[in-house]
Amino acid sequence: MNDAITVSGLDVRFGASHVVKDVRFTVGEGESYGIVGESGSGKSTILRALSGLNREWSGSITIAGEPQKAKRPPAFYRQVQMVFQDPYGSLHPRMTVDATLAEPVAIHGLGDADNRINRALADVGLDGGFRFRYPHQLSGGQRQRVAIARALILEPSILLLDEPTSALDVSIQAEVLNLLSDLKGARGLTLVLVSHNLAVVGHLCGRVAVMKEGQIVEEATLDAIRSGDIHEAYTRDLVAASRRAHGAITAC
Amino acid sequence: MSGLYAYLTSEAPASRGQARLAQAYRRWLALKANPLALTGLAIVVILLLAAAFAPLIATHDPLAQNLDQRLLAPSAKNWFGTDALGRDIFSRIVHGTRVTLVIVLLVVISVGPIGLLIGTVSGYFGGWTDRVLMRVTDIFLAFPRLVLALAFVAVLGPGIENACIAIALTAWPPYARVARAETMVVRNSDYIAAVRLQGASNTRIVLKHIMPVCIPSLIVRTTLDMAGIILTAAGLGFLGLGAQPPMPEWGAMIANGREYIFDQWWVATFPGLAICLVALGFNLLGDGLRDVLDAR
Repeated sequence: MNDAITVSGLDVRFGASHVVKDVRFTVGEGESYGIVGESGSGKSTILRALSGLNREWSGSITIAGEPQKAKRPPAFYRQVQMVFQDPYGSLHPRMTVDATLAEPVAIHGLGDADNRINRALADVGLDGGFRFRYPHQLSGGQRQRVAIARALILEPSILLLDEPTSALDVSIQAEVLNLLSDLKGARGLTLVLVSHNLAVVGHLCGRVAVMKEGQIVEEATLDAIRSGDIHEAYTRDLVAASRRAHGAITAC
Repeated sequence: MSGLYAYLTSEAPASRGQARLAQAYRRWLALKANPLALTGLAIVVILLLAAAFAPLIATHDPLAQNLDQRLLAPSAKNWFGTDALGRDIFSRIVHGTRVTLVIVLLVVISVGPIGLLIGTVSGYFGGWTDRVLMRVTDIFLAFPRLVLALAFVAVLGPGIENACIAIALTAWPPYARVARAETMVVRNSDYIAAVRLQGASNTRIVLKHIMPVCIPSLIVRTTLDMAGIILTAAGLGFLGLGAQPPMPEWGAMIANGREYIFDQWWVATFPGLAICLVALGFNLLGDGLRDVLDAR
């Protein structure tokens, strides 16, 4: 299996604070890799460095065999796309769904925008009636579907997901996760999923990195976590906390 | 009628055009619910109609002098009376709407784009670009508008075009400020990050994604500013630096009436009322538009 993403010695500093410390991990092609940790642990910062949004980092990032510099070439964006946490903030409030989806097609000069947009919407389970709506006419789940369609319209091989469900209702969360897992199956996507919720990560990912204070404290397969084959006390706490939260939900 | 209503309120518009029309219709409904804004809109519409059909509405030739009939009080023949040269004041006010509109339009066309461009570029790029552009803006902001306009007119020479240029040169800084503030709010938002992740160039981001966000607040600002622009133009006219005689400009008309204000009050009063009314109309409309356009 080829490596889609290799990160080594990644450091990110914001002024005096050292947010990501010497992080290294590898994601295979077609693999789903999860990064969990509490807020402020630096997990989203890693995604922003991977995607090229944050240009102030040191270390090495290799994507699909290409070592990446701070500034990415246009072709990079056709390979790697990202879905943001808050679907209420990630869609332009003054653009219809149609205009939002037409933009990447126009930027990369792909042509045939009409068909691509219809196909992208159908792929995320939205019918044509949604195409000319404004974001304020959509629900949170529908918005997140549009955001996913926008990411996938460029047919990337790697999809970065920054807490894609944490701003959504619990019932919608499952829908969006199922959609992502279907899309991954259909397109052989490589996913990197960042979340504070172990259950969400467990739904999609085979391998999980646990982050604490900017460092990856443990990397484990999902099976190892389920069977309790964990070495770090912090991971154990996280798993226990997640079980409690789940218990609380099922008890309701 | 119900077909049109369904078309405009459809939850699932079928085309770009329908989506845009539906958006405009929702805004119209919001504006309609605000009586003050409607009053403002009515005044502005009346102003536009008066300018368009001035020759039909005016009862006399606005430039025709008749020294036998100077300074006549308002009557059935001369509704607002006549001025020192025997010209009909009502006709002059009606024709004056054209002058006012020309000034407002010239200023708005030049000020809006300049302010928008400087503000968005400054806010989006930040750093040195921002510092240089904002210091230039500060320099222009530091002068009282009328004083700076006076200085420009003194250099350029009196006349309505030069008055417009002078007002435009003094009016753009607040627009740049507004656009910059708005840009700084959105430049780090996820939706801008998302287009950046699609590989969009900076030019594309500023023109297609940031400017549309800034335009509504600039429109509001412009409408609210219209009153100020009209007043400045009238002020320049009053001082003899704007429109030149015999052009029926409202400010200049007030200046002419100043000598007679105690004995023939109508000469200065009616142009003054016209300025007041139009300024009020634009202000009310701007206030209403702010509520309508800001709603997301």
